[in-house]
Amino acid sequence: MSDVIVDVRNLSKQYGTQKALDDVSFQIKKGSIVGLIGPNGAGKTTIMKIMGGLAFPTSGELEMYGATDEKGLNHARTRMSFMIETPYEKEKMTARENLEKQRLQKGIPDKSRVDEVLEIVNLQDTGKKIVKNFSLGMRQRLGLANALMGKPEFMVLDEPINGLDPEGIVEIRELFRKLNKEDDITMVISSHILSELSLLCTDYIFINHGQIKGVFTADELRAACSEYYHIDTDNNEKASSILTRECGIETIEALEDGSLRIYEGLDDIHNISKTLYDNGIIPVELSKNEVNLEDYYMRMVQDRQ
Amino acid sequence: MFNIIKSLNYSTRRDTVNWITIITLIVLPPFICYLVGMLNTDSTSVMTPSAYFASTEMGTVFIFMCFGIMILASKAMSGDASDKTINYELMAGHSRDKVFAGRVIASLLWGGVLVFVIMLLPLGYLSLFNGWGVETNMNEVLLRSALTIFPIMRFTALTIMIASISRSAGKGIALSYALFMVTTLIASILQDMFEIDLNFSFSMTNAATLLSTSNSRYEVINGKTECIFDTSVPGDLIWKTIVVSLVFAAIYLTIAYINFKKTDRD
Repeated sequence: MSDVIVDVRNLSKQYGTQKALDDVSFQIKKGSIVGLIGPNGAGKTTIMKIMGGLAFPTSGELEMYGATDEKGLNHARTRMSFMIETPYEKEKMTARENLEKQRLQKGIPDKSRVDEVLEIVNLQDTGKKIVKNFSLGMRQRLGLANALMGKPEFMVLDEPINGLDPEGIVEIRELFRKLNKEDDITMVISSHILSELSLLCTDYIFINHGQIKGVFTADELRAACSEYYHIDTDNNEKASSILTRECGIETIEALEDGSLRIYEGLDDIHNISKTLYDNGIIPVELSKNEVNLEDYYMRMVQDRQ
Repeated sequence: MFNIIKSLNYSTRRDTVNWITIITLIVLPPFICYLVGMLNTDSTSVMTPSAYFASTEMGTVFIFMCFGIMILASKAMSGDASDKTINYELMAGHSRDKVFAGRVIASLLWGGVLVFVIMLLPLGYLSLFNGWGVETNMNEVLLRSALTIFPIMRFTALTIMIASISRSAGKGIALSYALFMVTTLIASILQDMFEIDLNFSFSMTNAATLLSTSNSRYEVINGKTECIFDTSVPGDLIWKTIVVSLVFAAIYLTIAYINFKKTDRD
């Protein structure tokens, strides 16, 4: 039996003349925590909205839990939960009342579930305080509580740690880990806090301008992020063209100060150094470094625009 | 679908604006009657349901009831669209058909049926205190009053359509109100200036036809001269009210459904 829960095939979404998604394809496997990474307007929320049934794709196909038709997708959504954009809440109702309303619409018979999820997200003491008077962090927690109400098998979370204090971020990260490990809940999480995602995710999908820029497992990303050579010479422009022409290095990143980074040929640095010297280029700096997730993300987003 | 209705009822009951609206609607008819009685100092008659109907105050009350329909139906249909909490229903796996149907039923109950009942309440409590009265025939008045459920449902459906398409209870109320005022003005001009029969063209003209009397005569009853009003219900008034109201309601709800089914939610 396939462990692929979500299969997105050639999905496109157009709003007027603007393409929000352009031929996007990826899979999500059961038990994974997938980080969906991209700048604002990249298409992350559009993907989530299509998965959640809030938007219709212009073309392409979405398969969830083996279903592609409307009825099947709606049935699949009963096993899932979504927190998209800023959590939606009735501002003049309390946390408990908001959750009770959702309990009723989801048909959850157990009334004590409301108290359970309030305790999980640490909102059990809000009492009669209405949501209008909640902080951003409290609203995020309420959104998470909502997402946990139906004991989902799959959670789609749009920037779930937005607005949380450092303690809250750690708390929620541990909660996600626990839910994934103990309850085998699959998750798709989008976030700008890449360092947090790197502590949590098993897979990554990079997206920009509505296109998938890369799909990696955590191990692949760790390997890709690990090393690069920083090169600074007396003529970096000439050095770049020589590296491409004579050493076959295609991926060369030019930094703002003119120096270069190369991610290929890391085992052949002696040949690279000799080639530069033979062509009259004097290396001023040649050092080996590590890329963190932010650096890799910025490179990927900029390079592949 | 029933879960959606339950959830809507839960939040509707907790909305202060709804309760203020309902209480205002309940208080309005006796207030209007009191005001009319206060203004008409020559009148010594007791306010019976018969006199209340004959005085056409019920038609005046109906106009104010329409504001209640706009508020209650718009809020039931699109109160959750304004803050996007309706999205939870779609993301929970409910089909758009069921979400729409559940909201329409809740809106018709809160905006249509409830307002209909409130509108008829004065007939009940006035009857309890003062008896029916002699000016009108009770069965005919009750039939006319009962038939107003159809133009009420037609108007509620129109409000539902506007609220659903505008995705905002506030916009739904404002646009319904604007449309109400415009159609009232147009109806008034067409009827007064051009003498065009608009009995069934608009829900408020239909309701006005049902809630007003035409001919009257004087009769001596128990030694007292009373003005007796003709409240007979012509057969075509019944079937035309029902058919026209149902057809228009179906058109409005179909338009609202197509829009709800096919468009992306923000």
